[in-house]
Amino acid sequence: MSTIAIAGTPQASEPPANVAGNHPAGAVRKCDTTGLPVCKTAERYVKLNAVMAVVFLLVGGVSALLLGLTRWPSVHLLPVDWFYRILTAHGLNMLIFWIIFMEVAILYFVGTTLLNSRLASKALAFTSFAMMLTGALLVNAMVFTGRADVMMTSYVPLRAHPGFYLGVILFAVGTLIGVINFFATVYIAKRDHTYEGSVPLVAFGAIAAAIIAVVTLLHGAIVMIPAFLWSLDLIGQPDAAWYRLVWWGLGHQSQQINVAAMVSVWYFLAHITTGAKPLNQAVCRGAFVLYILFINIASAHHLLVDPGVGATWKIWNTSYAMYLAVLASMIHGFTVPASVELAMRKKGFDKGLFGWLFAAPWRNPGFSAFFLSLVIFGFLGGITGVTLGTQQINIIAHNTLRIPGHFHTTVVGGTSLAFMGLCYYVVPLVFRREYAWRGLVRVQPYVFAAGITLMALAMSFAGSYGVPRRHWDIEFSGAPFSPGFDAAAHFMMGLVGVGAVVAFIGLLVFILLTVHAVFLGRSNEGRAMTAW
Amino acid sequence: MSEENRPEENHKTPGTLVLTILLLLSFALYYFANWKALADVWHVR
Amino acid sequence: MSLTVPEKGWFKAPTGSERLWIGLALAWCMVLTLMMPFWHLRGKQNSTGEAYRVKPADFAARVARFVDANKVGELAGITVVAPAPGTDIYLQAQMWRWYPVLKLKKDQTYRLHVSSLDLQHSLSLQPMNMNFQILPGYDHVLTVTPTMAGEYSIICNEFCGIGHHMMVGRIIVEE
Repeated sequence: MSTIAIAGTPQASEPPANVAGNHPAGAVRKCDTTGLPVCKTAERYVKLNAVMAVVFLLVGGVSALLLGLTRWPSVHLLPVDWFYRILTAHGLNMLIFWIIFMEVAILYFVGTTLLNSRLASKALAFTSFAMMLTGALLVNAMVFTGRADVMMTSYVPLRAHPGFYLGVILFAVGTLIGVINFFATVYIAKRDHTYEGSVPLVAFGAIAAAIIAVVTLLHGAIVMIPAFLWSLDLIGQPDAAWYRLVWWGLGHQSQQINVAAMVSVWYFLAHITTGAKPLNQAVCRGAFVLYILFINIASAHHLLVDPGVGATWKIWNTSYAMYLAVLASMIHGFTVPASVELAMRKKGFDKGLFGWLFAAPWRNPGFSAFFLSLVIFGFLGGITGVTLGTQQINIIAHNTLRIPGHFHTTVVGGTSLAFMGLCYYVVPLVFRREYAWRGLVRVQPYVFAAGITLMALAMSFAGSYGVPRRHWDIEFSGAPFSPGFDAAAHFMMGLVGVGAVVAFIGLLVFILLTVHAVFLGRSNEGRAMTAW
Repeated sequence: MSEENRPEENHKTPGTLVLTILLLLSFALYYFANWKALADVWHVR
Repeated sequence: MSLTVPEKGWFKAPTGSERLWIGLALAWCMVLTLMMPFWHLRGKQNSTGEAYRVKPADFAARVARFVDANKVGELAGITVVAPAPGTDIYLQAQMWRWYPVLKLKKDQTYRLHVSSLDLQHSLSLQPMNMNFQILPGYDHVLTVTPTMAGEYSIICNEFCGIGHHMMVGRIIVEE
């Protein structure tokens, strides 16, 4: 059994941390690369959750390609029923299953390795994983057999098979159990004094994400249980406006879990790839607290042109909530690159304003994925998000392609890309397998970032010509009138297709290389991972 | 004294400040361009 | 560093360019916040969300009365109505059509009532690109003033089933 001190200078007023952690004998190993403790139970569930995440990423990715090829006007691949079916599958597999499986894996890793603790409960980890997997499979079965053509949002009175709602509920409750297991782990780490003083910054960010997750999943239960009962004809139809309000308590906040998790991953990758240290931890942690406090009410910005909620309500909720959460993102947008700049300057790359940036490890896929994620999220995702979420400006954006144009730069170019960068460390460190074809791995983040950026920008421009989201045919075949979009809009839709294809290639390279590494990669047990 | 607690002259990050100010400028440009686009459509309340 | 516990004394005020940036960002957030009430008072485009509960059948009856009183012709098989400026006018959304075709006067103000008889829909006026959510059970009232003449399409941009893309209506604005 290993004894690894991860605590800082012991403080006179407190007894020293229990550096051996609280692990039962034989239940921990020391990481051969970082020297950090790895709880073997947690490691098993980190692996299981991460593998399922990548499986659902593949389902969502193939769906994405089919959608891109359908919205490309000169290709227009899928028939109408399959377009909406695949669109439903794409949203759920990407936004829910890929990202949340990955986030549960991150929580288990952070709770055990960074806090030097054992996982609180093996039984809870198993229950959580089994429920999430059952739910995800059930939802996919319903969608692909055509019994849930309702989009990810399943706005009532659109109605799916009861199995669809049941699957979502199972997945949500499974996730909640995983989050509870994480909090229990944080609790026993504190109780057993396995670390000294305050938790590490990355753990702090993960705790913030987990707190938001609890609030989010409660909204999910409040909205999905009545929908489920209604689909069984046990109760009347839930009110359409009520459903939208509560659903977005789930739908919007779940994106904030992604943001908090992504920012934590930024801090993690910045440190592990360049040795970066935050300038001021109080600032970074304060920004995470702003997320927890103010993101809830920002769900309102999905209802900015809805009937039944007044202008005062819309303005108050958007401004009060959003802008302090926006402030938090702007703060991270500074502290993360600043920590990299400082680390690089200390290494001697001190020339001019940007010498540190040019000298950064751009060949390391962990670094390039992280930094591209930061740039895409900030410059494209953040700017468009706040603008579209402005109460009156939403009139010229609601339900147009500008909306997916925005969130593909936050959740795909931002979160998914950061998580890919994370995988380039998770596989060698947790699975203890090396990636092969390392040249291909090095270019993967660039290909994916280029594809998703092109696609998202083209979506945004097409949307500003009025092209709707979630729409099979902008030629409007069979309609009594033809709106006749501008030729530029059609050109943009072609670029959406091209961008989708490029991004899919990047995604496929990631999945193939990762699956290969996990199952066939060279083992690095007993020695440090091969540096990128 | 530890690295994180050194006086601020060792914490100069001018490159990042330039990048973030660039972000703020593009933000303002996009934001107000959208208000302009909104001002051109039909009146509604 | 980010992976280990912070050193003692980590809780301190920001300094230097970090402090400057937080100040700039906070100031910008204030601008963002104030723009919305400013536009609500001075701007001409606002979504007030004015709405009244209505049963779909009752709304359909109001639309029928409105069409009977104001119809002037037919276009692509859909009744055209030309209501008097300043009055309450009606538009019905259902799978998959907008009914009726409205003929309006430029620079005149109308109280446009829109509701859905079945699923959620979204009114998207093209090429003007103005968008409003339409829900069953809610009479969404848009006090609208067309400021340009011409023929406009109304498309649906909330997914409403297999015929979603065929749901196109028309508003004609005359000088």
